[in-house]
Amino acid sequence: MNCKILIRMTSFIFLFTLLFIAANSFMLPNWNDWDNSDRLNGFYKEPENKIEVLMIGSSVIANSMIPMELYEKYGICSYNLGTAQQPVMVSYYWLLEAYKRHPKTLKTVIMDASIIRYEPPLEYYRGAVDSMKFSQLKYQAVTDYTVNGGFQKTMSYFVPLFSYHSRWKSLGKEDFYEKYDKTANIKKGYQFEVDRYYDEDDYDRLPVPLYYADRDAETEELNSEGLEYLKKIADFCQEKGLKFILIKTPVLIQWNVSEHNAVQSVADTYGIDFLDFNFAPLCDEIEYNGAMDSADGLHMNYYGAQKITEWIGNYLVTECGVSDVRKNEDYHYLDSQLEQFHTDVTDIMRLQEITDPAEYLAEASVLPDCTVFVTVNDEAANSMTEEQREKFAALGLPLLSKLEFRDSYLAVVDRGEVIYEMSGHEKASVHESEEEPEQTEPAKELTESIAWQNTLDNGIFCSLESAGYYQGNTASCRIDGIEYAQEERGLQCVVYNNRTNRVVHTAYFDTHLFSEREPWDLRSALRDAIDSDQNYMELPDDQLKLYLYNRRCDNARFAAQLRQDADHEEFLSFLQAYQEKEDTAVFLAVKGDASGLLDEEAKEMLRQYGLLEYAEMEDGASYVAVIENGKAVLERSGGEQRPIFHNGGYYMLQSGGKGTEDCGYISINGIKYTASEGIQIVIYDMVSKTVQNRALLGQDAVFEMLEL
Amino acid sequence: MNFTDYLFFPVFAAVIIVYFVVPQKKRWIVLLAASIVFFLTWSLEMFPFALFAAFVAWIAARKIEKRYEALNAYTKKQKKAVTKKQTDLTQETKKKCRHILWIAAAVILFMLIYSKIQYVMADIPVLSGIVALLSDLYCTVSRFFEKIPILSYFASDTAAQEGGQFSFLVPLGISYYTLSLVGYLADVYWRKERAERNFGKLLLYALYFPKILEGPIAKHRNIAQQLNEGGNFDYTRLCHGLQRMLWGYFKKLVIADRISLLVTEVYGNYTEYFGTVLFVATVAGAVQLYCDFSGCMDIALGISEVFGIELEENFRRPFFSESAAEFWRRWHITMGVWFKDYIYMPLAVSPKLIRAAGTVKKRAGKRAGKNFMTIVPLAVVWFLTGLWHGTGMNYIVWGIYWGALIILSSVLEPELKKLTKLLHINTESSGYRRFRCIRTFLLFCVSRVITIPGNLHATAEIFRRILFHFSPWEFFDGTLYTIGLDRPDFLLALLTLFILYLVGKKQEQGIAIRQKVDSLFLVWRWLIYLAAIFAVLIFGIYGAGYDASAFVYMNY
Repeated sequence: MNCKILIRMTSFIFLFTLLFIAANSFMLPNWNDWDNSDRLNGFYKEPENKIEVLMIGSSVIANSMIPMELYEKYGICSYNLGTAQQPVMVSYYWLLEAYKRHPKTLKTVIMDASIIRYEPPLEYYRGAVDSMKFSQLKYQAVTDYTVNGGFQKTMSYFVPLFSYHSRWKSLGKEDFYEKYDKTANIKKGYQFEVDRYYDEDDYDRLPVPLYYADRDAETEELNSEGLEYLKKIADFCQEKGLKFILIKTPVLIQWNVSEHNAVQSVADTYGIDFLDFNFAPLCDEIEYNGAMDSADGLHMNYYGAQKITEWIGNYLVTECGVSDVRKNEDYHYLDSQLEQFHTDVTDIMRLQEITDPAEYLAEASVLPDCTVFVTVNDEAANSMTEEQREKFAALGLPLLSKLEFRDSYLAVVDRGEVIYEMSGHEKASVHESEEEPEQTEPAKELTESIAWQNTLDNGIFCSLESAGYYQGNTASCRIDGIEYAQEERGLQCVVYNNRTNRVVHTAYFDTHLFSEREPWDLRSALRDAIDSDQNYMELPDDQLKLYLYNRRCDNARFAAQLRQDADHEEFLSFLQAYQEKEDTAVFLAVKGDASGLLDEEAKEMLRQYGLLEYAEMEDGASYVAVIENGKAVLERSGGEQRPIFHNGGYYMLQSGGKGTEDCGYISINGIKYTASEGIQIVIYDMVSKTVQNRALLGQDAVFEMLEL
Repeated sequence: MNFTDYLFFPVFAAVIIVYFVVPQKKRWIVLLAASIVFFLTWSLEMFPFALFAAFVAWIAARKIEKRYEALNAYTKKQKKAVTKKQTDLTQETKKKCRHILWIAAAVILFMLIYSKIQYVMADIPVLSGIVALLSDLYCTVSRFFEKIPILSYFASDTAAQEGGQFSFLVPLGISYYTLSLVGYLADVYWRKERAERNFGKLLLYALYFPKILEGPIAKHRNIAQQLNEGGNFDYTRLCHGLQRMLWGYFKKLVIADRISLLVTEVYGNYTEYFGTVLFVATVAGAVQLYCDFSGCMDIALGISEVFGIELEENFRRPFFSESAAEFWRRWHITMGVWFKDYIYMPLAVSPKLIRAAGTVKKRAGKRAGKNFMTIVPLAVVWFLTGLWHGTGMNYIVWGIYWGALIILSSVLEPELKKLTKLLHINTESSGYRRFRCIRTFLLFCVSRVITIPGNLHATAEIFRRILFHFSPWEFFDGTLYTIGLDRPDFLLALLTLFILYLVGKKQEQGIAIRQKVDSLFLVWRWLIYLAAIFAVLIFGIYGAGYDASAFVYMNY
């Protein structure tokens, strides 16, 4: 073998290695769906020995803890390392990784308890571990997971190409640019969500919270691997003198009492603090409202995160002795990051809350590094006020200020400067011509839509299109191939951040019908309305829906409290409890023989309501009654062998006494409630039109509350 | 460990280095060690048997040779004209040698046959006990092997043991090296070559790792010398070997494994698909088998070429064949040669058969006698070939199908010639030849339909669907993109098949592609290499099969 061949072979291998490394980096997925890469890569940008509080666990923790707000309000330096369905095993290794980098300062670890219940699928494991930097620790994490998997599997973790080469079909431009946001650690891992669960369903379909935990309920089996690593985490924290807190953020779905009990008992055995915000008293302390504070019933939006972060901050300061670093010069880098955080999160939330389109454009266009795209779909001029038009003109958008009925319109405001504006008026011949208003700069007369396209500084292509009603009736705003305009009428705005290369906000204003859109934070609007003694019937739809949902929650809470209270496990006190509640209807229906179930005191009470027939009822007779707001509105009884049926519109009652094949039910709004023999009681809220509670006075006068 | 394991590559690189560092005379030991390690990582359980089979072959061949040597020595001493005693002795020696051959071959082939029919046997009450006993016995032996410290390292690998019961489900080249060893024995018996004295060298011949998985079934006399002498380092040959491997990986991972997604999907749920899709899947299945098998051969031959050992070619672009007989001369060549040399030829020259042909000739005419001599050996060969591929009823039908095709084309040759003349077909025209190629290919596709579904009922149903539920619109409405392969994958499969066709065509024209590449300017050459390597790495179907799109933000 001569020298030439050796050089040739070496250089070929070198070239191959270079390309191989490049291919690996292209093929590694972005996990951008959930800012996963930003969060984990950003963690490595934090200076060492700074972080005092670390959050680990699944996604619910990532969008419930806002480290920057902890800093702003309490001076706590923290980082949120929650990733989608993060397996406990990965949480453990990320904790070790974090401790490796912040051994002197790390004091408290907050972990989400959801994932201990089950083993997440492989992709969540990969998503969390792929971004970990190569080290002995990562090798350990991988071999721990792929135990018995052999060389083949282990390799695929360190050579992304082996696992992800089938991504060649979906490679996009972003795979060849830098893989994550250059300023990724600004949010410190917080996952910003704006959406409301409120928008997902009707008020009577959205679930209500549980409020009270039943200690005696059965416990769920937890995932053994999860428990094993939970123990490891607890042991590690104890060994290093870290405070370890297990939390469960408030949710409306996918969490129940038996799961709570299971985690609680594990926490008790391991000696871990477990804070479950789903149950009293914690759920009251944070004043959580599932419809408004949650994005999907499970994940918090910004409102919810703010509440829980504030509570946790307070807890960290008072219970865990976490220090205030705001005065410490070493932490001054956080102050400048805080400003960016406001741009990225707080300002965006403010945009979401703005109801006036002119104000929105004014605010959005002054956001640093942002480009605002405006387009019109269908019609946007009808309800614009003079005031708004003046504001538009002041913003440097003269064409928008003169927008006419069914005009097309486009504008691009780049970092406060209007770089493009165009409007299109329908051709006079198309529509019945009116007297041409005098204009200094009349809108162009067009029969088709207007469009604009450009490449942004960072090479990302974007295109805009707008068509008024007669010109095509559509609007589009595509950035990097993704459509951001919504299929809604009116003014559409898309805000794009050039620093993070992402669309940060989209909004539409139906200025055809309304000059302003509905407020996003309905709670304060509703509070104002109720404070001014407005009748709930006159509330706007949005607020009414929230009002009714809140009422449902109150009812559920009331029922849960009754259940909690042993005193109310009795017919009389149960009815009395609901006697004081307004707009409540009580339905009674007898099934089988129920004549001897009530004592004199109870009969006396029924008499007070105006129910006179029960006392005189024959043995085994059928009986139905309805009480509305404490007054009897219906009472019927029949003799033995004579069932009764009553149709009261939204409700139907049926009762069969002894010997009538035990028929007896209460049907409300089409839902039939049946129970075993005895007197069935259904409590109904006449405002929210939902059933609040059910109970049964059964055989031998045993009283019990039934599940809804 | 197989050729597509990640671990194979560093191990292979290490073996190459050690092989060329060690003095040439000792190089065969490196190969033997590598082969044993390779075998063990594949299947620990089968190793004792392989060792045993090689040992039997070694002893038997030596015994046969010793007898012949004794006879030779005796003949030389006599010097005189042939005496009666001498003739008797020759007869005696031959008989004894034949006995040794039969016993040894039976012992070696027993495992092969047993592995094929054990499931049939297990169903028969009387024999199931024997199967269980043999399984237990074998288990005990292999457990013993696992206890040896070094070997136990391999024990955790993909062991073919389920619930303590040893299973022959994975034959691990059992048919390949058993056939090789039997062929070797027969050759020694026919005195075509001398017996190997060194057991290690014979073991290397049996276990040589490039060919252990899927062949080729190399003849001892063709490769023994190369194996024993050890190749010398040759840069060009090294490059050629690696290139050939790369081409093999391309065929296997990029083409075959991609198409197989479609084939398994369709054949796995054939009741849900109709004519077009089934037809496409059938054609794809034929191409898939070719790419898979010949790709594996390219890898094997490439590996061997790196060591300077030339294995026999197993494929010569079979889809360019014009007849079934030609097809089998170009498809799985070494198996065909084995059956020809060790089954067909002995039958064709056996005195008993010739006598029988004579009787037929007397009674039914000259042509019948000639046909008898053609039909009987071929029928036996094809019946056995069918059984060799598998033991199900469908494999027997498969064997009969090919046997019938080949026998008929040879028996009816005169009639067919007349027919082409009558129809004024120009048999030399390229159109006619292309027609013959396509016809042969379709005949092959038919044979695939017989074997892929696993049972004849399904085969019949698939034929029925292809012929009577043809739905041509599915070619155009995007249906093809929804069965196992999405649009980019499907188009990529078509593109790679086109490349395969171009390469095949060039080779048919006698152009040696590798030499063509060699003559290119360095930059272009490297570009081709790198493109090919990354094509395999990126477009290959391997690894966890992880679908990145599965990672969507769901709950949590």
